[in-house]
Amino acid sequence: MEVRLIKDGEAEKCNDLHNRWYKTNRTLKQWHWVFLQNSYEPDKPLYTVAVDNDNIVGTQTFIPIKMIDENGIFWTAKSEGTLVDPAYRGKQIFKKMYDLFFDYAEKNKFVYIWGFTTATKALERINFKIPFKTTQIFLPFSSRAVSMLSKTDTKSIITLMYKIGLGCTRIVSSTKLIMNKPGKQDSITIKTLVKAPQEVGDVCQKFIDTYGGKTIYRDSEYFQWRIFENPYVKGVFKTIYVDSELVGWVVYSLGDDGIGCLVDVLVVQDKNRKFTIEYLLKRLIYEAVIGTRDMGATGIRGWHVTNHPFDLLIKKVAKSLGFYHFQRGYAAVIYSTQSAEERPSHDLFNDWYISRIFTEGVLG
Amino acid sequence: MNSARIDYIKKQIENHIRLFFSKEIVEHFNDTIVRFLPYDEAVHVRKNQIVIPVDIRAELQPDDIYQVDFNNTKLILWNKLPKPTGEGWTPLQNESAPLWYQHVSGTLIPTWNLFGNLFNLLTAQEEIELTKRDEHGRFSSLDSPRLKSGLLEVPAFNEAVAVLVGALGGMVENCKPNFELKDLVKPPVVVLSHDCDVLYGNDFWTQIVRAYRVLLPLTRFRLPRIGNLWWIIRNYVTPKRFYFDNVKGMIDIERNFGYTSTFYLINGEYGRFGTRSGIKGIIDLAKIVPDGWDLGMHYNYNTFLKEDLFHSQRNELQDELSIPIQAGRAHYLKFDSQKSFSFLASNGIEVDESLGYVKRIGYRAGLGGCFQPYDLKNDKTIDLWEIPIVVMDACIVQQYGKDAITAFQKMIEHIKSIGGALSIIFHPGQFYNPEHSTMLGIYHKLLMECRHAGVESKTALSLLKEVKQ
Repeated sequence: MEVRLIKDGEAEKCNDLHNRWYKTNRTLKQWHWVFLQNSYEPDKPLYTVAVDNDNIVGTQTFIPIKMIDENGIFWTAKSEGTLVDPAYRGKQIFKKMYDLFFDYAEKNKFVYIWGFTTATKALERINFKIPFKTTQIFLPFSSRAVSMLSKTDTKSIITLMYKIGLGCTRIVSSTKLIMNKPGKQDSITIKTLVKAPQEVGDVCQKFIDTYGGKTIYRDSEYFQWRIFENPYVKGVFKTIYVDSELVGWVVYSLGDDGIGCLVDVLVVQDKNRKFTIEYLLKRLIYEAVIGTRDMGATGIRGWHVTNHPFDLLIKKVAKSLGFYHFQRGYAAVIYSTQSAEERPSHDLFNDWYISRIFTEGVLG
Repeated sequence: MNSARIDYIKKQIENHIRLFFSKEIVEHFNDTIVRFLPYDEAVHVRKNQIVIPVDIRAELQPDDIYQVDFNNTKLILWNKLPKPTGEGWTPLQNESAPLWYQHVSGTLIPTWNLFGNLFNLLTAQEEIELTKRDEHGRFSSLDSPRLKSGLLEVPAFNEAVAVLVGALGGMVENCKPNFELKDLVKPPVVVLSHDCDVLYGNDFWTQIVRAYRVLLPLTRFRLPRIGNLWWIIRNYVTPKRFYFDNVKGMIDIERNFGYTSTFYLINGEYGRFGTRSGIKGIIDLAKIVPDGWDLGMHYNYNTFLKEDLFHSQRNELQDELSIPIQAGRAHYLKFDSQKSFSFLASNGIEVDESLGYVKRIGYRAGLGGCFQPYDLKNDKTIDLWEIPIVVMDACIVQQYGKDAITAFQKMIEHIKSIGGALSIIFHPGQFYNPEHSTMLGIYHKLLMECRHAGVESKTALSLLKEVKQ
């Protein structure tokens, strides 16, 4: 048994293993995008494989992602693609694959390794912490959104009850949406872009200066990869300007399940303080709601994860527009390297601002 | 067969190869390797050449239909040719269903009436010989002899060219035809478009039709369909919902996939078969259509072969939108395959997407891609590019019901194997409209299938630009 980095020509085998295991049909193009097009070492996949007799029996990968905190920008890695053939469990393959990356992360000054999973026990054993779980904010547009809540047979009584319940919640949501529709202002412009402007990095910096905490550093290069070159779903990217000053953006998409996704939203105060952040945020979330509704979505969902002040503001604004908040999601797992100790409040995880942009990008 | 007609078919094949296959194959498609000859001459060629007989009449009713495995798909061919007489001919690759007869000297001759079939399809011989038309003066798919043989969904032109490309690649490599295309075929293409017949759901005719649907059951002594009243009220209050707003939604959904499309706009005379939104709605719509998406003309029903009315509509669009109108599609697909092409070409249209069926999906010209029509009277190619419609929104759902997406998936996978483009029309009013509940989510699912097949999206105008290069 050998645990090593992937070699040329093994991508197809790894992708096949993933597709067999998860019963998906991820294409090689999608594999290449998520694992190869990283900005840390372009075209070098941080992808380990466990190989036994020429058979790939395990995979594990890192997606290098820049984050930002009060001290500036730093590298982290998103853990993805963890798979071990059930026949090889108990042979420490999982740990060996991670060990290889832990060494890499320490050498290259990566600060955190993080991800989202339902299988937390194995990760806890190798010193990952589980500081929080993702939860959902959801606004139904149609009773067809029942699939979001219930996976049962569409003709079952439970589903019928869910549909009736959704019908009632829809009425409440629609009323809230109409009542709280943000008014238009002449000095505010919202544009749909096909490329992120250079200023997005500055807005991200200003966001951290305002709120503190940690979040993904969204510069134009990151958006190019994560949104505009995403071979699954390229989110609709809308920016908001006060006069001509870029103060934020919203990204939304329609997932393969027909439910809209609030992929990302971020706003800062305009320099002349003409509008409150809450108002600007409401404008953007409203854009995403109307945008996904017109795309034929059955509802729109986003994440609420931590007590980061902006995350709490999103929840407040979303609720005012008719969203519901409910507990369903994945555990976040975070591993701190030695480099983490050099950063402020490195062991404080509840100050991460997390949106769905932290996901792999399959739904946008 | 006269030489103009032979040159015409050769040129259409060459164009198709340039669009949907790798560059090297275009270079191989020349007179030294592929020759179009009378049958008697063709069977006496004794060289490493592909010879296509050009003088065998193809009957309208397809005969001798057979299936052949090719490049991970199945081709359906008809009007089979017998093995040439004389020694030295071998059927390839399979005795019972061969694609080629090859002579020991290397000569390859197709096993079916390739030229005759393609010429008939591109020049719409069915529609010349069968004169029956529906109430709108259109040739109906139900009258096509191909429908009776289950061949409407066979892209015979694409299949023939794919076979030819395989043979060209193989002849250059080792004097044997290939039955796999490997990297020779480019990713499949979709040409997405939307006829903006209705932009506001409260227009007089749309509301009248709803009211009619409320009362229609009474004529059969049944209870009226009160439900339709809801849509009358709903669109009275919010006229843009499910129509104009859907245009924004369609653009956004196409963005999600990295695709673009064309919006065909209808102005001119108002009425049941005319425009229902007026020029103001069109101007408003044009404002929300971003760069990368195209606008074209949806020829008003009353402009059919009427130059003055056609000019008037086109001029109004051009003046109001300040863009040249080069692309178009006929409203109600009111179209005459013998007269309309020349009419459109002489009236400023460069690319048209009218050639399709109203009641069935399928390949009206046997082709998924684009071609130049042929003027049979004057024996010359018409200076117009036609992108035949293959799939229409409600059509595929009515025809296949719950299996609509599976049927589409098969089509796209087939085109992926043989090269070509699928022109898909989806009306904004059908895209997301609870009034047409069977259509909900269909466009999204079609696009997901396209993504899975690795499809590239091109608009009619971008395809035109590419083919003209």
